[in-house]
Amino acid sequence: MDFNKIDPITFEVITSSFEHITKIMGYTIQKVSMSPIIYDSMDFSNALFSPKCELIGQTTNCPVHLAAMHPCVQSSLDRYGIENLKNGDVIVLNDPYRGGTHIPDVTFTTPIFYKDQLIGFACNRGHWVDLGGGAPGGRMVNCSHIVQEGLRIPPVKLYSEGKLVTEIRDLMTSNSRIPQQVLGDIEAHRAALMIAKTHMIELVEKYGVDTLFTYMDAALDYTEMQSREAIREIPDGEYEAETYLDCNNVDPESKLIKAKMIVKEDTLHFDFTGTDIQTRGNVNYTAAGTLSSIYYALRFFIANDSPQNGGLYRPISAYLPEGTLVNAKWPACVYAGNCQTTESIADLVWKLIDQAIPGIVPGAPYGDSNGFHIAGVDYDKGTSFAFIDLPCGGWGGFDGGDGMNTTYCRHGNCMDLDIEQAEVLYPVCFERREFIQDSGGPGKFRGGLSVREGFQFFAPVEIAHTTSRTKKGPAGMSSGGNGRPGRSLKNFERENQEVVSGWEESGNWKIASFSNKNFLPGETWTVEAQGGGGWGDPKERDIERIRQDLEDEYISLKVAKKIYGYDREKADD
Amino acid sequence: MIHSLGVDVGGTFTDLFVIDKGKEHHIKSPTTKEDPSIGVMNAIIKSGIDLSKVENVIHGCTIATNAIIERKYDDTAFITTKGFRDILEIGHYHREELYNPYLQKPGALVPRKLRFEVKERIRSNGDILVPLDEGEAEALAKKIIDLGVKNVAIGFVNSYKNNIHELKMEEILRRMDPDIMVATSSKVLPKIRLLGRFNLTVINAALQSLIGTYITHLEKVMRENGFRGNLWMIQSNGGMIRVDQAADHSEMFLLSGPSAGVAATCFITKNMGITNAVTMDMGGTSCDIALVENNEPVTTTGREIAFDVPVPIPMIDVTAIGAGGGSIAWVDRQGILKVGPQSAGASPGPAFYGRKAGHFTISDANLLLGYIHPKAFMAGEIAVDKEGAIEAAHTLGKKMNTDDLIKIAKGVVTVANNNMAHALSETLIKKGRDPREFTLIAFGGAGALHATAIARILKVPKVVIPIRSSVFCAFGATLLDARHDFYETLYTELENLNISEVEVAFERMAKSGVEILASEGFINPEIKRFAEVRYVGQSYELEVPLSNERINIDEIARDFEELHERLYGVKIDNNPIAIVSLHTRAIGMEEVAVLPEISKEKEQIVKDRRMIYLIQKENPIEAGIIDGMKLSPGDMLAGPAVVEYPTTTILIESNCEALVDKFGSIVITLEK
Repeated sequence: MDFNKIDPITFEVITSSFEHITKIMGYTIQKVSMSPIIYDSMDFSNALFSPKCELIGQTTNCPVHLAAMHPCVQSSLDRYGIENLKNGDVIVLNDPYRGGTHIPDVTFTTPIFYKDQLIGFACNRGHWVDLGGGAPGGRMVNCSHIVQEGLRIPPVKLYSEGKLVTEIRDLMTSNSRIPQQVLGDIEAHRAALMIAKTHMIELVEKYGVDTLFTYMDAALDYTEMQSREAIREIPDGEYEAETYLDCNNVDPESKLIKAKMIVKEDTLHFDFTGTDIQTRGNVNYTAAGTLSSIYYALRFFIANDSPQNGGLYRPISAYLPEGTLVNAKWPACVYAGNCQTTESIADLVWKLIDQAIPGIVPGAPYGDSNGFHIAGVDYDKGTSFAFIDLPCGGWGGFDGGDGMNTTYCRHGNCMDLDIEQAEVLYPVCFERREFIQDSGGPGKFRGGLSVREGFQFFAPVEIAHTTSRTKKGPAGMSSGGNGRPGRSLKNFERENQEVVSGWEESGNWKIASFSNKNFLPGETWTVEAQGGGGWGDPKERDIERIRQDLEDEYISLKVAKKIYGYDREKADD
Repeated sequence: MIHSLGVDVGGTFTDLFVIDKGKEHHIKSPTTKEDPSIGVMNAIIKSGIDLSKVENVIHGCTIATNAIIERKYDDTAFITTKGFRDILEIGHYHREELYNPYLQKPGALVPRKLRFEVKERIRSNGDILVPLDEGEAEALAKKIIDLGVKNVAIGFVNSYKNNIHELKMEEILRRMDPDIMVATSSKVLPKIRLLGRFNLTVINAALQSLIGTYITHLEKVMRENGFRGNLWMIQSNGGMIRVDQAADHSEMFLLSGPSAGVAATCFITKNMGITNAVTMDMGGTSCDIALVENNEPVTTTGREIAFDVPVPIPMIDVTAIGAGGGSIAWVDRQGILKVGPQSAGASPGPAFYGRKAGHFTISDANLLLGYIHPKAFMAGEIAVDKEGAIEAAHTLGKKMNTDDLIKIAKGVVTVANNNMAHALSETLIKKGRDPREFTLIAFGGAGALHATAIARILKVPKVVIPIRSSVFCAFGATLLDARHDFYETLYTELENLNISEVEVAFERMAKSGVEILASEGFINPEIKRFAEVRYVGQSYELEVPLSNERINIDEIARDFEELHERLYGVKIDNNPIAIVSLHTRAIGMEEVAVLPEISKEKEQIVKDRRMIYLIQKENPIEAGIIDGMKLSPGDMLAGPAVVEYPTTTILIESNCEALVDKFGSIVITLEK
């Protein structure tokens, strides 16, 4: 960056304004939205782009959206051509093969004009609960073609010069199980874009177009410098690691993802050669999604306080072989790519960092969103419902502390479904939302505990659930043990209890994810999330920590003795 | 007799405000953290007031908030429905920082070893799904009693709809140990959403003995000193409550202090005829922002007192940001200037305090720009070392490749103002308000120097610097009404609303309010009714004020949609609307206080002239230096000017006009 041209004060004022604008977009969308997953779970992100389509500011509640919004703006531009964009146009898209991530993530983009001059784009993405498909929310597990995952929307103008194109809206609502939410969400997205527009125009009025453009460029250069400095602190070299997905959610075999990380001075290159080819089932992932996963995984360790813009990623490159799990092509299904493949890629990046700088990486967190849809139709009334929760697992222990219990995983920061609220709205009763004792991976610093959440139904329902890490559990680090694997059960703690997905005491294993599974009134379904991986040798765990864990019943006496070598008599001395 | 005396215990100072025989006393005395009543008595003694002549003492304090944030209270047990033992710790799933691999959570208000569950279950419609296992409940009660735990919170799922099991559990505990302190969620707050209700119930149980002990002790000390009047506590909802009513509602004191400042603002705006105001209380380390609309503080029920600890009772909606006079300026590795959130506080303080290797702070910048007079800072009680500030500026300037002190100081003030303007605008927009419709009310030691510049960024047309800003909260305490809130949850779509049922619920709540207020000595209370309303499908409600006439469904729908459109810019046609809960506020009106009008002889107010640097002007400009103590109503001050008071300084920029109003407040109008 040339300091002779950049005033450090104006720089701070303008760049912090970009962040400010994306923040207030977030407040707006959250307040107006009708989808619990947006207003409660906060599954959305907001961004601003320069006229050259570079990311100049972003607030993410979902790190998985980091790199995956820019391609949306680009493909909206490609579709219409910059000269055909008018003030008040809003372009909507969700096509994973044109910049989207998975079908439920719907992205809105609007050009911002100042006196006929394009000064940038505002863009936001929210997770919608349902846009059709073979299972509620498009969470269709036994699938082979993306049409089974719901309505695929190419870049299309939903508002033309400020006017709602009702035909497009109706096409969207008539393809959703909950049309009412679609209407509310359209309003929410638009309200956020409009507030961004107002504030960007104020910024231009204050500083002028030329200054604004100069500082857009400067902001990117500045962040790039920070990113390069951080990378320079990683020792040069080539590192290799691999990880497995439990399966493709249709067949039982594990799927391999592997990568090489090449660190050279201030650049990072990833090479995913050797990763399994794309497959039936919904674990495939798009290139944009894979890049986002690499970026957010890195961000835990490098430049995590720098402004969020495109400059961060300039020194980072990746080779993603076409037609593999990490760069899938049409018509592969991608729903679970965005919640489990993404986390496995992040696990891989963390492993690579641990090789470069041993000891700094915690045990793996639970590594999924564990999301489920519970849906039903009331044929008497002619109404239908669908809702989501994202039961969380534990985070990994690290040198100095135990992992967090039941906290949302790296790729997002979603919030819970409110229990009492849900019971008013849907014919269910929560049986439990509690910790699973002993689920944290053992270690000098233990992994966090995961949740067990269960429902009893008062009406027939259909469930779809995607999850992973049900074979081995999240990996321990630096000699720490794995966290408890996940699974789900029907009629938990009743005589007719059975495992629906995941591991069984007998050693059997059932495919982790499922859809189109029906439950009758009176039956229950219970999901057990994965515990976090441990860090360090459990035998080195501090006696006080073991005692505390026993007192709080985070671990059982049996585990204290067997895994941690706890000897009560000796401890009492 | 003296009608009322306000005393506010803050983090650093205990402030007192009282008017005795027409003379105002503004007292600041150090806060005594171990036993705040000592500081309170010190302030009273310093004022020379005879306590036996005081009818009402109104008291605000931060002990409740501190106890919760620091988790410092006696062991408290939590009993809940089987399957939900960990619900307080699980919270909302989310984490406080997005990208920290080593993040840890602060822990639930009750540790797992003191969280218990019992077999019972109520459905959302109030039906009993699993009856309470009384044998198990008794065994559990015994276990808790044997542990020696004296505070117990009970929170069962859906108890807002049917609390039969909660009451039974409470009865068992009381029967087995009559001395035990029990808080029951359906009594503390019968409102849907268990996480907030349960946390609030725990807070109530945990703080009852703490607050009770403190109040009893304070009252005793005051009685020993001749006090014969009523002692009142300031509540988080912006009203007061008499201490004999207070012990059961310990959760109501979480934001006791800031409430009074906002109440003072309401009083000022009412007297001045201002409808909407945003307050900015900028001290040494932070800046508190709050809203006043139609002379009422804007309250929220969506506040978290600590991360993931929601407290869904109405509280003054205060947002704190890390910007104060002591905020430190620094330059990052790429040469970009940043200000805060680190603060030099009172120690080591700004570089001009002259301590070694001082940091350059916002106050230092204000000094170099000529706004702060070296000899007049804190009434001259603190010696100003300008060389210290210059040295610190040079250190900072090296990293910015400049040795232009004025450029550096202007830069620091610009960045700081920008940060505060963003925070103010986020606070307003988060609540769906447009900053341009608000008047900015600035108080606190540092607020008046920055208010005009911030107003300019936000396009706020008018700034008011109220009188008595140095003891503003204590002053506010003397102006409070008694105030009690009641809630009932009733989830129903508007078109199915059973109006008689709603009327009965409102009657019930009003009756409770009238009774409490009568015992506090108020005979003609004002009753306000609200409905919490949302579109079916939404999760956030808006509070819609209702008239005291018979409920009219169309009116509720219309008011809700208007409010929704005003706050969020849209209304959603043909979407059904639902009422989630009913809210009644009973207010015991204090006799309407009136700001005394000031009249004094016109004096020479300009005591000096000096050169100051304004941010937007290249060259220094001569400004009149005005003695604030000599201002009288009607005085017009043309910018640029600096008004100096013993504990605060006001900057009036050029192109601004300031008018001293009849109460002594300074009203600054920005150029269009």
